Amino acid sequence: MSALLVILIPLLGAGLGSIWIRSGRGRLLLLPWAALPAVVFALVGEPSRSDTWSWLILESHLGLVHSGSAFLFFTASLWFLAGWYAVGYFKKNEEGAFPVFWLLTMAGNFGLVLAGDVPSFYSFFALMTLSAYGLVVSSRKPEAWRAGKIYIVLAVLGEALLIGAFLLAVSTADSVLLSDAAVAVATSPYRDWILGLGLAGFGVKAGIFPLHFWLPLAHPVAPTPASAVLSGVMIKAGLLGWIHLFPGGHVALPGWSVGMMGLGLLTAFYGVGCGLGQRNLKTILAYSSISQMGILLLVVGAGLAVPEAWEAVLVVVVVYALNHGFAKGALFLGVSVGERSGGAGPWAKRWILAGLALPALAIAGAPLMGGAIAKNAVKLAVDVPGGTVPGLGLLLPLSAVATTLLLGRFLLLVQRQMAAGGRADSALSRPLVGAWLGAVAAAMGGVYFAIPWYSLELRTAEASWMGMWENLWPILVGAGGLGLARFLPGRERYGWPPPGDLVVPMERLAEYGGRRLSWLVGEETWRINFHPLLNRVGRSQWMQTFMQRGESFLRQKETAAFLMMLFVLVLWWLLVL
Amino acid sequence: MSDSGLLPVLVVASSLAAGVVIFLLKEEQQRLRTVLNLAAATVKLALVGVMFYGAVFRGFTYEARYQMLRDFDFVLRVDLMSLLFLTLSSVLWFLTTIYAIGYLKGSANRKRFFGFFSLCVTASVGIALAGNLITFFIFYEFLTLVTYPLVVHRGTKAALEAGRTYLLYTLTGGMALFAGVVWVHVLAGPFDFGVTGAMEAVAVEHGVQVTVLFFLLILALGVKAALVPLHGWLPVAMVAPAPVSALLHAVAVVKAGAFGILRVVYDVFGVGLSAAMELLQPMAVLAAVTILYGSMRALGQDDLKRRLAYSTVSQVSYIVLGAMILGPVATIGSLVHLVHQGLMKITLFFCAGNLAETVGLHKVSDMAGVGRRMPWTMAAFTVAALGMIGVPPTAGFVSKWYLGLGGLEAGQPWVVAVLLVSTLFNAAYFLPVIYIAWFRKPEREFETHRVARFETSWTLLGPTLVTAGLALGVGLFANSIFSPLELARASAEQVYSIP
Repeated sequence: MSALLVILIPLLGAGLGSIWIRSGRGRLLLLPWAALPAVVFALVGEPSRSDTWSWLILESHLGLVHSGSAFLFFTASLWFLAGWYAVGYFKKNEEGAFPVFWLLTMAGNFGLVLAGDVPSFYSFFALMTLSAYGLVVSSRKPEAWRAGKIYIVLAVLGEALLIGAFLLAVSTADSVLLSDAAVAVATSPYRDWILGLGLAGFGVKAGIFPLHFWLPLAHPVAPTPASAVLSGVMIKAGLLGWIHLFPGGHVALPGWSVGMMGLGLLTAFYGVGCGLGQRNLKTILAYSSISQMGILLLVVGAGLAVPEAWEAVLVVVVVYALNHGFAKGALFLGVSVGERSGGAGPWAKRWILAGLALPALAIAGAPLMGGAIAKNAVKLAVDVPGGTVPGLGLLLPLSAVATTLLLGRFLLLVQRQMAAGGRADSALSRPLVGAWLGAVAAAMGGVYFAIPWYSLELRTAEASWMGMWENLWPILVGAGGLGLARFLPGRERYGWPPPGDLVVPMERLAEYGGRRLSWLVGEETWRINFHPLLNRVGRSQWMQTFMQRGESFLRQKETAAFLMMLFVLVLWWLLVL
Repeated sequence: MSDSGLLPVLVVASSLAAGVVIFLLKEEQQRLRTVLNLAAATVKLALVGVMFYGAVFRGFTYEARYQMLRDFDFVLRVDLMSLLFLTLSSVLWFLTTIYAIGYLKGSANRKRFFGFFSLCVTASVGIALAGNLITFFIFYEFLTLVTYPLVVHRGTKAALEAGRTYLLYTLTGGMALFAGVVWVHVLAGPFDFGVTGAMEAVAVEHGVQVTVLFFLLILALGVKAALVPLHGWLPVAMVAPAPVSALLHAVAVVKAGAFGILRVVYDVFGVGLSAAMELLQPMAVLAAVTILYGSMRALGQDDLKRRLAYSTVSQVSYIVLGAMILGPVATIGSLVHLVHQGLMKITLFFCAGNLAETVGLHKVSDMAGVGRRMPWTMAAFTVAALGMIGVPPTAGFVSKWYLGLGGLEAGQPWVVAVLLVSTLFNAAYFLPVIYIAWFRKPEREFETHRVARFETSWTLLGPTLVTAGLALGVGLFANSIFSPLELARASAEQVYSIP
């Protein structure tokens, strides 16, 4: 089976879904089935083989290179599970165009994992990013429109930054291959520009502070299966971009290394800090994703310190991403399972809660779970000689404490919600529960499943009691903290910061700036506002009158005649000269 | 090859003859006129196909040369650059003819329209094939005159006003161009395109004159290419019927100016001389200013066609920018955008025409939910608009890619910055249209001006879908041997191998 087919099948499905199969369950069934070939391909496809389609785009190279097997495995598996979940999620004819956007987004996500050259990678990245807009605004509610607007503005900004980074990299490399680009970046005269643009451009997708604020709005507002893939796997496209583009292994960049590690740690703690104040379950999970992506940036940054560190980092980030992808997917999918468990018995509710606790523990890095392997690997990877962030030995376990706090709070809220009866209007269905259980199982065993692709050394740190204790104490501290928090005064005063934290002052600033501008020019708000500020600039009286007048001035006969005369005079003068 | 001179003449003659015969027909002979139009377009397409095959794959040369006066020859010749423009105009003429037949169904003065329409294409084909400055100038001015009746076709006050502005601009530009052409001949004598030695020979002695001449020619051609501040006629001229706007913005007038600029840089002065005398930088800056200015103005337009017109101002300057950056990669970007912009922009104007004709929509703010009423038209619009933004893998991405790489190759990274900002602007004025059409709920019942089996009549929808398919296809299959990119690459090679 070829890599191209893996991408074409969902695209074909999108075509089918928009033209022939207009409604009903049949269309939703396309979702899991179109993802299945990718899962199979990840398992049986030949690793590190890339096929070339010379006529496609600017010569496409597609294959399972660069950790492709593991990356495609968890990406496709979660898409498959979430697709299955979606079959049971929607009420009759409620889904609208959702399946079409889903399949397009999925094709983009598979494509970017398989891409071995810059133009293909960028194409699939754009396909995924733009189609995901349809998933975000799926509910057509006011908060979905707001989230969609902020999402698309940030996404387009990210795309623009990325084309800059890619152009600079490819220009230096004189090759479209991603593998050549990274080598060239090491010695490029534009190295710092490429790193900066790449960090920010992919940072939008990965939710790195301060470009994270679209994420706690967009991930939760999407239908639950879409939230799961947005937060579980699509967010990892940013990570994939970093490891493709950054010249790790070729050059030591101590400055960038420390900077990224610092930014990663900041994001990790900032995400938890904002997340603790949230009331919405999915928003809490979205903030947890931001925090986890911060850890991944920390690891990537560590790999840039010295060239020798990179090889290990590549393995670590994929294992960590895989663990987080499955576990976060399982948590998101579990949210709606909890919501709809109103009709279930007390024991079923307890099982659901236990099923949610497992992936939460996996993310926190509890011993004997996939997360512990990932956490141990991170500890090894960030322990690089030379430039590192001071106090990392303590900060890393502290971030596990923070994660435990955040996800513990999530579990408490789920429990409270289920006790209150959940959402009465819908009940559990077989695909819903089945897919969720599948995701929980993947969160438990996925890492072990993927380890054959890598060296088994990752397990060694786990083997001793001491290693186990190191993973256990942050969770115990976190759980203890959560228990203590019950006795704190005013513990019910949640709801701050508002979801999207930074976006609120930014929106106000844009609104204020726009009002200032319209006060200056007496302009009324344009009816077809997409982004208020942008349109105010475009429609402002100043632009209208100044430029319009300028243009109509140029259009006058007298002006033309005068300019003609001037022109002739200048010519004459030049000739005489 | 014995027929090597005949083919270029036949290509020009096919539409010229069609135009003349249409004028001789009666207004009511509608069926005959349609057959004639389509037959001529098909014949031209076939002839161009033969020449394409011969020139690209067999290495034939096609040249027709007639002496006009003493040393002045009338030369029609095919090189790879002309082939790019020629293929574009013959393919798009064919599609626009079908579109125009559907669009103007039942309206008055169709004989006049189609007559001048054929002459207009004759002119742009002549511009593509012109082998020296004199021949180029003849067709260039011919184009100015035969386009006027098309711009004022509706005969309304606004149309006549637009026509007057159009003539004022283009005739003034034409005068300047005439002065420039004469000057070139006074300095260097007559020479064919590609023989850049002639200007180089006089450059040492008459440095100032050569410099002035360069700017004179570029600015004169810049009127039609709508370089800021010479662009004022273009947004006004959008009152013309949709097929005219489509052709005007994609192939005929605007492109004639851009193509002329390419000829001046590559075939009159030559890259060596232009670079040595540092003539390119100021024009590159002007092109960059035009790109940003056009986008900024487009942002504020509620009228869909006006928005598209300002977008043309911006996008055509990509071609100029590429020409003003030294190096083969930028040249590829410039040449390929000549084709890509044409495909994308004609799609957008077809869509605007479909909306106006079928449901009477002219304003962006009225388009809420129109995607449900006309899904295919809006799908085509979406593809072309994403292309304009430069979203991969559409045509616009490939152009932007090569322009950016070209800028870097020439050591001018500011070009990338301009492209980035332009991308953001394009997204800011195209994405809202897409959003409103697809995601907003319809505010009212749409009118129906045309009853058809599909969302609109197939003569309007068919060409739109074909051009949208091409706008996507030339990007998706950019690396295949039949793509415009491949031809642009070969053409750039030709330009840079000239000693």
